[in-house]
Amino acid sequence: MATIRPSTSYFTFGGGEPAYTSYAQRGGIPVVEENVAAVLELLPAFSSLRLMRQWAGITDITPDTMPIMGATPLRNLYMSGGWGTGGYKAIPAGGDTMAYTIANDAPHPLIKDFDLDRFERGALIDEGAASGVAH
Amino acid sequence: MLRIACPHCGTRDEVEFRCGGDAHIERPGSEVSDAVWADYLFNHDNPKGVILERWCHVFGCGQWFNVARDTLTHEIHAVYRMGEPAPERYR
Repeated sequence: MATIRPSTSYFTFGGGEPAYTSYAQRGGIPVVEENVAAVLELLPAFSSLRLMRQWAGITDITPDTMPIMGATPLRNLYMSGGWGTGGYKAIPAGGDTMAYTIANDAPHPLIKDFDLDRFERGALIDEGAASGVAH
Repeated sequence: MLRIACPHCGTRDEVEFRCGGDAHIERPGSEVSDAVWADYLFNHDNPKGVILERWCHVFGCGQWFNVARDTLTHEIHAVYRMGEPAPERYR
């Protein structure tokens, strides 16, 4: 579960993704069930609430679930992507370090390990716990 | 909820299965460059439409098999056993 966001008359919560690639953008009942189960484990009183609607979008997830940031093989083209599971928490730092990387045409020390070439080097980043969601 | 027809057990819910990614990719030999090896491991097709995948019936017979699945509609067009060629229209 990624978030619970209180509103005046309802709560929004969400997280997770199906275990297969999809462009359907409609989610899946198993993921809905996982999310509801997580909420009820945390807040059993919510069992009296009704599920009003569910939503799903597309997330960009890399093989090691960590973003890819930095230069690309094409000169003057930089990339910042693959934020699918933790972007809205980490992107303030991601934006700062990308700006530094572009301005200096050299990776900021904090993101040098997040480069595209890490897959070729076998230097994947195993830090699933950092984003606070199940991977 | 996907309903997948395991060739050994019959049609079951998706929660009994695990998706194993692209089918019909060939493992390169051990002498290839890092770039070729990384390409084999990490660079896969990501089609919006029919994809050929390996699936395993982990909470059933435990067997692997192939599935032709539409990533947009979730329709499953074909299920065929390991070692069998993909249906011609999806190759």
